[in-house]
Amino acid sequence: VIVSDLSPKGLNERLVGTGLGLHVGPFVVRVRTSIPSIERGIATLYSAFPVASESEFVDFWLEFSPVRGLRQLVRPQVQFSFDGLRPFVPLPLNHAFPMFEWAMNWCIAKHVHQYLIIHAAVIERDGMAVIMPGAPGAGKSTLCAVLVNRGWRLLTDELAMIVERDGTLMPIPRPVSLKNESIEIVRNYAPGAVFGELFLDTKKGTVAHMKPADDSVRRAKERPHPAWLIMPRYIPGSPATLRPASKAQFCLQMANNSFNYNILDEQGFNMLADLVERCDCYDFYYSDLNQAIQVFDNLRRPDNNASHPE
Amino acid sequence: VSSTSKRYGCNEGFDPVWRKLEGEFVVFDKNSGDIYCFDRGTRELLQLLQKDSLPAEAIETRLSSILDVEPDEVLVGYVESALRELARREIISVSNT
Repeated sequence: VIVSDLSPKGLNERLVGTGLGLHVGPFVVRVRTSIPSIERGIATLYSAFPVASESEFVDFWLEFSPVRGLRQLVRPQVQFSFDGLRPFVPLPLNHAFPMFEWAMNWCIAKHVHQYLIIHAAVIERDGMAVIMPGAPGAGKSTLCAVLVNRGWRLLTDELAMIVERDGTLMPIPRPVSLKNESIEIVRNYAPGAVFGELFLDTKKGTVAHMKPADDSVRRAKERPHPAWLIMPRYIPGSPATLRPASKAQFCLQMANNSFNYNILDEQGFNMLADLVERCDCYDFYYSDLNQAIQVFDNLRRPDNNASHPE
Repeated sequence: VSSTSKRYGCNEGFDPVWRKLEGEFVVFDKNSGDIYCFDRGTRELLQLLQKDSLPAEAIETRLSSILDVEPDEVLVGYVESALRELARREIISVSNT
């Protein structure tokens, strides 16, 4: 059963009742809420996600509810509860869906340590993956959103998860979060893509989410090998240029982008170094997305890489 | 105190795991959790200082032999610069004898 198999009434009853269980990548997330915008977001953006049964083990129990009291009459707010805790300050009620997405990121980044987790987008083609770490504003999510509409499979736009025993990447395809100008840019490049609602004046500016392709969601158990580490940098006027980068420097940058290498300690360091060693590392400067697409299409499989996905 | 009486040694907690990546060395300090990137010369220097605390002149002589380079002013400048950087990162410390 996937979310789109549920009737609107069935979806609502689960969300307000015992919670809707969703298989999100390798995790089971159970969501309980009565907030209509979260329900609409799930119906639109998570329509292809498998529904978990009541008896399945739940990794993350998320609850979103309106803040009670007089405030709800003046400036209604939403609060997030996780295992009975409230780790975030409440947000305006009309930002409930972005809060749902941020909460899920937080749960994974904060609590999942069976994988090395790096703040990066990951896309795959022919069993070989590109990991794209990047500072905010570097154009990582924009590039990712465009490429997954041009033949690449989405693994994540936010949380690259590396499996310790074989160095493969665990997919966790979820809606791609786009901000400000990049929303219109991606709409123009991918007129067929499905978008959720537009959220104005969030803490990250205007935010919209692009639905992951059904194929990416269906293939969430296929773990590709990483082949390229590419650090994108949007530079106005720059031709699309891939420049080989120092692996040692890349290792340091990846450590800075990792949520948990320090928790994983020596094992985390070895995983990082193994990852960098087996990938081709590039800095990527671009301004024109057509040129960027061309560069990615021309990527050649590194010689030193294992060649088959799991 | 003259500069010749200074000895350089690794700080006690420094507990490195080394990885060579295309001619450069990345090191993870198990004690602090920090990661650093060094060239071969600095790696050799650090490995010397892990065994013993040494004055700069002895470091220069030994590095000259290990790296097979002349013990000239270039090497002296290199060692001075590396020692300064390692001290700034609190990986080594200086003692006066």
